[in-house]
Amino acid sequence: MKTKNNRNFSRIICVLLIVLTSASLVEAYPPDNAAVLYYKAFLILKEPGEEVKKMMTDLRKGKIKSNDQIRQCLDENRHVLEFVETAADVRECDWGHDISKGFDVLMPELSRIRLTAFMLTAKAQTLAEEGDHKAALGKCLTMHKMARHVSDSMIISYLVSVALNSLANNHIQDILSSMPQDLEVLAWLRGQLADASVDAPSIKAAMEREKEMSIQEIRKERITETILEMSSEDFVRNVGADALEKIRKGDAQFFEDNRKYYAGVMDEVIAATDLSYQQAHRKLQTLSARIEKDAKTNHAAIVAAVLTPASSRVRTLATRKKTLLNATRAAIEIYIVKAKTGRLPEKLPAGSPKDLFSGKDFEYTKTKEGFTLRCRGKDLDKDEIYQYEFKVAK
Amino acid sequence: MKPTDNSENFVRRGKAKVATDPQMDKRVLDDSFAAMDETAAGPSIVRMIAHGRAAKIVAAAVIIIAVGLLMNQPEPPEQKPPNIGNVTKSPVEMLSAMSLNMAYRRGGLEAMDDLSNEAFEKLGSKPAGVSVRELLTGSNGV
Repeated sequence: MKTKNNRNFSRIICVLLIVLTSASLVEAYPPDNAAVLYYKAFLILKEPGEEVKKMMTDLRKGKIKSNDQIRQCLDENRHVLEFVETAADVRECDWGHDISKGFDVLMPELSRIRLTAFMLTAKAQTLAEEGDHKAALGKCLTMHKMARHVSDSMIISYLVSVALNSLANNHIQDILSSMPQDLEVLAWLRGQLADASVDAPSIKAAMEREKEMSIQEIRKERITETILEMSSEDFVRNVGADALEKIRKGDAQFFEDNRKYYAGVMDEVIAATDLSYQQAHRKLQTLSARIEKDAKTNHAAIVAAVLTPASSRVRTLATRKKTLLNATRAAIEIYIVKAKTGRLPEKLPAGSPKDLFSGKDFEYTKTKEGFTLRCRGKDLDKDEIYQYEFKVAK
Repeated sequence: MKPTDNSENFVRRGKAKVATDPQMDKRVLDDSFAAMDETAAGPSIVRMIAHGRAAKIVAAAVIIIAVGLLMNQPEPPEQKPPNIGNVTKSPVEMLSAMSLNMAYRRGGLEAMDDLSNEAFEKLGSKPAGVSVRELLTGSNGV
């Protein structure tokens, strides 16, 4: 009896081992790192010619309709788009950046991801023209997911992700304006956009990483190249050409002082990300002027004058991106009311997302063709108030 | 008759043929040296030129031409600030965060795209079809 039990136990163990080892032989697809799929997509990407690229730009701007050449380009790159869409659904994305290289880290993916996003917008537009609005919206949501993958690892990647989000939202706005008010699709889109806004790259993380990386660069052995690259004519005009000479001849103490000053400046920039747009903009503008003034008399401020990013502009872009997303989400609430009641609401539905330039509700106005959502606060860099127009398809 | 006509008739009539000999040469040279000595002692050559009407016109023309030339001279290339160096980059270096940042500062994301495209172009083309079937066909079944 005991022998029989032992034999059964051995059999079970053997079977378990076989199952476990064979499971490891089965390759999991998709992989758990989206970057693998993106890189595959970029390897087989057939870059469109200049003429088709221009057509795609015109298509994005609504100047033309989709045509045979654009469709052919999309068809030739259908595997690329499949890889990209699969990648976008993968949670994690590690591009394999060697951050220890500082600003020399290679980022070849940025422009490729933009190009594939342009193809996705062309695809979305084509699908919308064919009447498949949900699939078209799906392509836009893929762009939002790609933006999350581009990440906030540096300011430049953050800016690319902001551009992708804005591209996606602009197209969602166009599609919403041309599609019938389908409650099911609208409810699905509302949920998807709420998800997209949760893990969106953050300006704070981008600034923190920029600070970390720049501090590594503020060293005698690294700084000359960095300064050669980044110092602009404006810098020389405002701070003086001798400032560069001071950097070149700087000793260990000079760089230590500059690291401290730069870290202090970036701490203020990072703290400003928690303020409202108007407060942050004022603070960042003042800070920028102070650094420039200090750099003329205080040697510790010279490097900060070169390396500190145009933080107020970056903050404005971030606010603009989030405000456009909020306007799109508020518009969906309005379309949902229209789908339910057959009429546009008289006022903005309660709890609608806000205009982040002012921190207030959008100004909602019904028009002949649909409605507009107008910001109540200005883009302080451009001295401009944004207004988003939405049409209601009959 | 005009002085120029006189001179032409003089030459045409063959009166210009003057026989020379060493004595004549010496006399001419002596006269020339004497004239030169007088000149050195007399009014300066500059003053003489300045007093001639034709000379004044020529001088004015020279000044006008000189001014014209100076005005048409292309401006000397502006001295670039010492900080900006046109460092030649390899296509790979063109894709670094630094280069992309710089491109962005120059012309936004479009400039970044252009720089990347230039880098990819320099790096060479990539395969457009890489399915397993295509790869097997490419290797002739080996």
